[in-house]
Amino acid sequence: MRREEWKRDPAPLAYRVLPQPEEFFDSWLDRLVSRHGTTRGGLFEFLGLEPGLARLDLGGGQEVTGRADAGATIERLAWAVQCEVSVVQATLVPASGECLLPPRARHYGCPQCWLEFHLAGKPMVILREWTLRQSWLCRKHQALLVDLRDVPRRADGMSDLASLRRLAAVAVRALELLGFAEPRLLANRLAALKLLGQSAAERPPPGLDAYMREFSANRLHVVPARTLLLAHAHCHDRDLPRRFAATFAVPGCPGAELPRMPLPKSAMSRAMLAVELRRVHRHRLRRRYRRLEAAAQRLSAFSYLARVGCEGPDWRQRALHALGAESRQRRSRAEALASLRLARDFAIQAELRRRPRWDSEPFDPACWGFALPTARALELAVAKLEAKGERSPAVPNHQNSP
Amino acid sequence: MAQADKRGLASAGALRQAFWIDFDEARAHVNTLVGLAGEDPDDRPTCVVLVGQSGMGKTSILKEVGRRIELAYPEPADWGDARYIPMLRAVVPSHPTSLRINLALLWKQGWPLTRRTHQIADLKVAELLGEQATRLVAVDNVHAVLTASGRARRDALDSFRFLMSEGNVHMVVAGLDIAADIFSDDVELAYRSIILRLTPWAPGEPSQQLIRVLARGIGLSEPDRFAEPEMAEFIWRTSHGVTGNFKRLLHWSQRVARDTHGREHVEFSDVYEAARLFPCYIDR
Repeated sequence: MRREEWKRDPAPLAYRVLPQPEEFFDSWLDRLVSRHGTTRGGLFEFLGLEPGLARLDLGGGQEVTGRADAGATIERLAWAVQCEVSVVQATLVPASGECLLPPRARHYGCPQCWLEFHLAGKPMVILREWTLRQSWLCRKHQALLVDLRDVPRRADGMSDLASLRRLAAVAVRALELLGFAEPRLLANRLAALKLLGQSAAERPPPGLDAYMREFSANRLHVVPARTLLLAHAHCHDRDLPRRFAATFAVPGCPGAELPRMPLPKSAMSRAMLAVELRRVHRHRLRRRYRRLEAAAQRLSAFSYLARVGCEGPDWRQRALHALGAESRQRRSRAEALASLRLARDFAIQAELRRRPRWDSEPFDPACWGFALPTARALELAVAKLEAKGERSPAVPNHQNSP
Repeated sequence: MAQADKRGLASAGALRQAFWIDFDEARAHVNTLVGLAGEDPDDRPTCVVLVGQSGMGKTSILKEVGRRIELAYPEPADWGDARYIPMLRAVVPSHPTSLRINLALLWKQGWPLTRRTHQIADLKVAELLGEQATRLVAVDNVHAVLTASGRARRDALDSFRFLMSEGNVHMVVAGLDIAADIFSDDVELAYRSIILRLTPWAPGEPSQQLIRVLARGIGLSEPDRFAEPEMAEFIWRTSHGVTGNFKRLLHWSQRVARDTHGREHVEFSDVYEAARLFPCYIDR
């Protein structure tokens, strides 16, 4: 019997590899092909499908491929694993092709999710949302999506769990220092739901269209650190991704001149970019320390003067000058932290002193307007800095300050 | 058109039903094979050689066995991801060698063939037999092995032995009468095998009953007329007692009446004319 004769009588596949919930089509097809020790072309040929279809990007469905037989292919694959067609159709992303990562770049995902899959005895799959160009965050674990090809494999082909755990920790830590803009995070979520065909709202919320214009078809996938750049693009301070886009002529909106090929890895590796981003973080932290310290100085002066009851036209200037000289001598974050703690204590004392004991006492809005919010803010700042101080080593402070 | 399709389906159903009701011998063979599938191979699986003339219904018996085994042994609820195939049925390919027989089985098991498959084909077949919970392997048209050269024949028999031993599964091979001696060169297989024969229909009442059922199933007008002694004797003599020939003759009689003479009513002359269409070497 020749192969042409066999083709006329295809059989269902030996193993019924079914798609996992929310798994992307390519991920499922790769598992199916791998389970049967063949290639996509070989699988399609076995099922009596045109081998050329194996080279198409079928993950977007018939609308994206533009092939009339894409639907029949999905039906045939469902028959091959003996499941309902709707189960396979649920793996497709009904978004346009521009909103999806290129097929060779669909390897970003959450390592913590993979760990959970492994512990639950499930296959490690790529989820549908992870294949969108705008995706950079695992909402379940608040972790940055990373290149899962970086996870080393053991001799038996399984992922190395220790490396996966390390990568998961890095993915969570990468987002800890960033201050995200909530409206953009919300827009990111809504845009993902819309692209995945899960949006229930009839009217899009304001700003969603602008977000989708900027990010849905973005070209940041040309660099390995695309998720890191996207994460910064969702922060309050978006200078870095803007500078990056300008440097590499990657426009924020589609339609302009675009690079066709991915840049070589030597152009800007992820490690280099991470170092740069860390430097920006340090600079931002230093700036924030300086602001807080200035507030602490003002508050200290106010508290001091309130305590000693000095009066006179130049009390504020004198006090600030004295505390400023003291502050300039502080050279580390630990000292800045100590200064903040002192300022916090002063603020609390000032607040307590100025708080009216009785309802009949006159209310001084100037004191309340200054001392109370400042004390609260300083309390929070100290708590945050103490928490960060426990996790990361002290960063030299004031060395580069102007 | 739809009515014609429906009628065709109805006739097919009637034929299958009539066949199993009226053919006691085939029913006995089916029961034997289904019972064999329920037995534990116990390291010494049985090989059944099902032989009979072409058109006696060997393939139909294998299909019926497959259907009944599927009913008798449904897929367990907690079955894994491997496909559940309690009975695997394949046809001996052209140029039958061990490799080609194994590739045919692999294809039926749902394993895509690649350039490297031939290196592990026999092992993979045995592995999948276990994973897919196969109880019985049926290989049809096994007489084709006899047409191969001595070395290829030996090779094919080796593949059967390996399948039974490594796969630990019962086997049934079906073929023409000459296939009864297929294991004469292999003592081990011969000592494990039993032979089931399908004998041609005897003249008289059994043949008349079969003709009546077939004529009814095909949809001929006045079907009892074909079972009358004169016409039944002619049909039996022309068909040589082979089930498939009975059916072919009645079918072509209907075609001759319809296409040549433009009528639905089939007469004896149409049967006679249809018999002349059959090759004469069948008589020899």
